[in-house]
Amino acid sequence: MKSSILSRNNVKISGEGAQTMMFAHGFGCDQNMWRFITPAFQKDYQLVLFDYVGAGKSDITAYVDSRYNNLNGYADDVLEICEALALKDIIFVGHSVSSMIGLLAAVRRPEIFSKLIFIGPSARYINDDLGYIGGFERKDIEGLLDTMDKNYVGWANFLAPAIMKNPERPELGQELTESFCSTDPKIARKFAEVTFLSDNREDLNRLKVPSLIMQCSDDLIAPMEVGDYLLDHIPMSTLKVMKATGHCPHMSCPEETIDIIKSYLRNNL
Amino acid sequence: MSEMGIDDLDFAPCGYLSFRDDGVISVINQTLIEWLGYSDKDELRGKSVETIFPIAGRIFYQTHFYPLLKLHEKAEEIFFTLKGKDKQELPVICNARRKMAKDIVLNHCIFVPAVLRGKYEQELLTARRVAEDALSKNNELVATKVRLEKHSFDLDRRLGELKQMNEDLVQFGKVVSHDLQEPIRKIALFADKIALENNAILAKATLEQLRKINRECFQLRQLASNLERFISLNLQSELKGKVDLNQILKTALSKAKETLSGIDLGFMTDPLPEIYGYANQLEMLFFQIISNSIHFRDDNRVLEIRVTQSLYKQNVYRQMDGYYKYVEFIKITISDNGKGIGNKKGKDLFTIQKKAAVNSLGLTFGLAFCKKVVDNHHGVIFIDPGETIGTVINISLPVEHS
Repeated sequence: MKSSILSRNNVKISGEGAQTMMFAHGFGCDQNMWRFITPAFQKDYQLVLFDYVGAGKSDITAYVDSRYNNLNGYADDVLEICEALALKDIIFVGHSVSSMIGLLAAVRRPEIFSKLIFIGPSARYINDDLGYIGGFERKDIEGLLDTMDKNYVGWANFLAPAIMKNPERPELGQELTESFCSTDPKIARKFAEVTFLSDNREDLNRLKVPSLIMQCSDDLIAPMEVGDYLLDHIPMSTLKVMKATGHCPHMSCPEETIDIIKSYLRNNL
Repeated sequence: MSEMGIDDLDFAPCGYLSFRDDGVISVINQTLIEWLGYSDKDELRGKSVETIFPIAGRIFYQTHFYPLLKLHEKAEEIFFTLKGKDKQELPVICNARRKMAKDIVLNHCIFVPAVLRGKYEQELLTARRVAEDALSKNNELVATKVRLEKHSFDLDRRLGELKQMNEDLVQFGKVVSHDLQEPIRKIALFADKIALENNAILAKATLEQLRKINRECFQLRQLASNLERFISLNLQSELKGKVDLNQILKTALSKAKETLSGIDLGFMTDPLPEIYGYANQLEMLFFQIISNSIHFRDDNRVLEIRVTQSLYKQNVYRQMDGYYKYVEFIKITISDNGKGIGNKKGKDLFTIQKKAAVNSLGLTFGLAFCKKVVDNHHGVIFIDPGETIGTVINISLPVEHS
């Protein structure tokens, strides 16, 4: 059971510390996205990286629609890895949609988590009629899913072979993981739907573990209002607005990202 | 033959623009300017290329298009929707290429309108979604049918087995409650009678032995009646319904307090939700736990009982692999500052214990009752192993009827 979960989620363990930091990638990516961040924590923590089922080098055959058609199924991935490794008191770092996945996991099993760190989180992406601002209108999201669908054929043909098999061109595989994270296109499309249509606002005040919200300036996917909303609704949360722009500060501004995480962990933020 | 100049490109029958890696538009042709409804190139030159995409297009550009272009140095036949000056939308097909020019990389893109093509695509897409939907429903249906047949078969067998077990239990219960109780009662009675009538002639030791017979009989009867209660929990006569846990807890508390008159205790509880369950059983569950707290209190301090709750979502399937349905669960934690009931034993505490006979209140029997009630609600009960002070009991129950 243990080894099957570790291979299912392509779990990689490294680092020299006693306490565990777990890094969870976001939509359309895999664990490679953390490569600029993890070296900074190598000495002081045990690092656990993984790919969600359907992403990266995970076991795609483990994808079950009824499990992964909502974020709770992804939270099960996180908890099953923690159980397989008997992890306790971990620091969970989640990017984008992984923030809410981590939150759902910690709401269910608070004793496993000591701190949560959210990078570019959002509890709901779509604005509602009652004044909630998520940054998107429903038609924007439909447009995105539409665009993904329209490019699906080319996308699948184009990317899939490059990801799956390229023994004669290893440098391509290398480059691919570095410049774009690999995901099965069909699952990516489904994950996009699950992510962008999710609404976890009612789960926020159930969190009993301290958390850090890292809000980027000028983030298309999670605008400033979303960060403020999370701060208001998650007990024991801290908000840090970053200088970094865009949705992927751990790729574009790793230094600032590392500094903020480190000062939060030293309790002086 | 003259080479194509920038003027020709300006009026070429396709939209053209190039942008730098920081996203800034460097060149844009007249055709594209007109299609997008701008009057001057300077309205776009120097701006971010994302200006001409609606939000969906911007996400697609950031997460898919640009990384792809960067990786392969080209992208072909990408469907995009562009956004004009007045927010009008223009579906296009885009080909792009990266090229080093002097010391800077430029990303060159041409756009061909795909309004008609787009409509056709849309129709195809709609048709594909319908077909996929139908197919997946059909596949699901076929698979479900196969599973259903298998389950029906299994279910039928199990129902048969359960029915048999239930009948056995009914018989067993009857034996325990009547047939077994009566001889025990008689043995006790006769022992009593012998002792009473022959008090003068019997040796002291013999009288003591008769008293022991009597005591053992009493305990045996207690055990029998506890067993009967335990078994009766299997025979569900009560109907499930909405249960207000606050009310249940209140009643259980006052009943538990009655077991020890004059008991002084502090009680704090979170507000609890309504759940779907057996009201009487749940009341007994809380009664047992609170009675245990009272019984195993530490006389050095006033007993404090604290009830907290948290809600979370979890897969409701516990026995079958590969089935998922996430529903709301409540975890109720009841902690006290008493002596703590053998935390090291963990699971064993929830089984029927011999000690029950010795204890007139049947307290340790109580935990076996608790587990039974929780099982009947498809939940889980466990004791926190790590606690040093008092006892911490956790109960997880599904909130709604699934």
